[in-house]
Amino acid sequence: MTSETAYLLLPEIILILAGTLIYLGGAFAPGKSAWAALAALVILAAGGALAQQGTTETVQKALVTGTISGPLTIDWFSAAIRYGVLAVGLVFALVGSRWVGEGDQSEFQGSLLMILAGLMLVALSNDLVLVFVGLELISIPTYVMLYLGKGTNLLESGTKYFFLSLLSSALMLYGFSFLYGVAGSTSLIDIRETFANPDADAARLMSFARLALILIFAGLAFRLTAVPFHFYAPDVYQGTSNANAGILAVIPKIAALAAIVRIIYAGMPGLEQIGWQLTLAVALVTMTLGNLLALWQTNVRRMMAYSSIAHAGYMLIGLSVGFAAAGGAVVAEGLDGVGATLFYLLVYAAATAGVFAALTYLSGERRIVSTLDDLAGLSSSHPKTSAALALFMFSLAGLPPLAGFWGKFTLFTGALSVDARNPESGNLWPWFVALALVGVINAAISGAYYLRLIGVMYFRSGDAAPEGQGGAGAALATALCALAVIGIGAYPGPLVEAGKKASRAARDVSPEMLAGDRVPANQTAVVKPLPGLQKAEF
Amino acid sequence: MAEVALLEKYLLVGALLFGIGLVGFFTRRNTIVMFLSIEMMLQGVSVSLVAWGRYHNDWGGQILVIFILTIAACEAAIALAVVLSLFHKAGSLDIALWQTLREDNQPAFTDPKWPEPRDDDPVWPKLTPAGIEPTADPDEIIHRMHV
Repeated sequence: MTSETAYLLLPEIILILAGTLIYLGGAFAPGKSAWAALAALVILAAGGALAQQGTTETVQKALVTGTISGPLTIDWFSAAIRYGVLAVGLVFALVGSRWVGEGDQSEFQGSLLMILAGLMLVALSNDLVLVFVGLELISIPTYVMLYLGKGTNLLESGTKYFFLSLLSSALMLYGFSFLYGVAGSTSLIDIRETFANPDADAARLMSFARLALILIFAGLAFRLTAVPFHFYAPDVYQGTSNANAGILAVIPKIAALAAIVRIIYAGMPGLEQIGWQLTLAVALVTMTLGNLLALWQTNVRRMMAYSSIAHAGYMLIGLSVGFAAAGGAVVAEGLDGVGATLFYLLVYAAATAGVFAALTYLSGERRIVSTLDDLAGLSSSHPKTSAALALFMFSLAGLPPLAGFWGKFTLFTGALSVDARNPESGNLWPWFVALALVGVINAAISGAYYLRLIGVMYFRSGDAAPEGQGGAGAALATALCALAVIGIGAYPGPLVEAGKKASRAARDVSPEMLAGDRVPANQTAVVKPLPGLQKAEF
Repeated sequence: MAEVALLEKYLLVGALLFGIGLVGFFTRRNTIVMFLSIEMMLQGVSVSLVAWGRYHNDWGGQILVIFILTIAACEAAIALAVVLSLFHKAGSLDIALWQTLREDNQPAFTDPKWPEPRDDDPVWPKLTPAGIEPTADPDEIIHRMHV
């Protein structure tokens, strides 16, 4: 690790050091909101460090061409994800400023900072080892977070998440082992070079590459809550607190998509066909199942869990379009499947984080808002919060002036344009038209349960109004998310462009990236042979 | 070609470990055994990573294995805490006791083959003593106490 690498990792180093300090300090002063304020300041400081790096010449050049520094990739993709992650983290630090649990405030905020650092490492990584460490740096603090606080079902939901997350990590690692086996290197850029120009040895092993792709996708689908790895989500969200459910609904999805883009989309060229087929099939089943099962739910967190499953299905539409385009299908000018997915991820994160921030704000010491009945008559007792909740629901349903509409619009137009103007070779067209149609039907179905929640708030009278003791932090977080939903809805253009730029940066290989300070793939002589074992008979 | 044959054998061992672990995770209900099954899957991954590393004459696989072992140790620490708190609350390690969170209209899982509790203490078989009991040498007993 050179000093340049350390400098590029400065935001993550700040987050991890501060997280450790907050863990330690919490043992002596299990204070309440002070730790949340400190965590929010640390996140802002990390954002400042990131912005300061952006002014240096190295990073500015890297943002144009992309560059490799040791195990890190500095390009538009990592920059976009890092800024987005810090924004989401700031919202959750505010959400958790009260009612986390007796004296657990420091553990919650410390875990949150660690999770953010892990997420940023996944987006930055150019190495399978770093991807794995980053994903575990997200998972392990999440396990701790799920056991914090008081609740009758905390233990059960935390345990379900713990065991199934371990299982998904094992599946993903088995996929990594085959990927490493085909390419002979853990560096993602070397893997990409091997897949693009396979030598005789790699070509012979290529059947393992398909196995690797499916296993890695399965392991990451757990974090994305894609069918058939979705079944834990409703139980875990229902049993845990509102703030934790919000974190689980947003952060693992960002990590899974960043890892899929880095490893499968960018790192395994030549397997686009199996890529689009797999994501298309999973997208169809995921969004349909998520939306249908959400219709019957009476618990808000359980309903939002099925909603997050359905949204994972929408995100996979964009990935599928991206794989098809990378595999040679013709997509209309200016449309980019993966870019649309990244934009949709931001839109989804703003609305979902807002819903859970509002639910946290409405809860009190005596009652945690959980069921739809708890929200009855909210419009008269908490008019502002219920207006914000209605805004988030409209955005999630995809109604026109709000952010969610533009997210779905970019995804569905992308799917409709695949091979549409290419009648000779337009063999993929029927598949993607069917995908877009199912997506639109699903968006209509999802309107039913989002509007039902709004109906409960506005047209039913409740017995007891929610206490609304979530604190100023949660209220501020709700307001920030509402502003984001309206703002993105009013000016979606720059962020859609940023998503496209990020996806192009992740896919393209520039000569500068290949010339970075790494061992070239064809120069194996630099690596010393394993002593004593070279060419030995076993 | 000896290397390819060796790679195949190691990959087979890795796949077996992974598969046995996977089946164990899905069939066992003891939380500790479930965790150990996942550890076995991770060991299967490690074996195949090391085998691939040897095949390519590259250190990367072994480095990833070292990271896997370290992180598995962290997870074991959390698993210990989880299992302890589950046992404190339920008095049993059976994972099937934890199913309050499920769909409203779904019945809870009940084990059709749950063994009936028995009232009487079971009588365990005993070996009948046979042969001549050797006489103990007092010096030898003292000697053994000091070894």
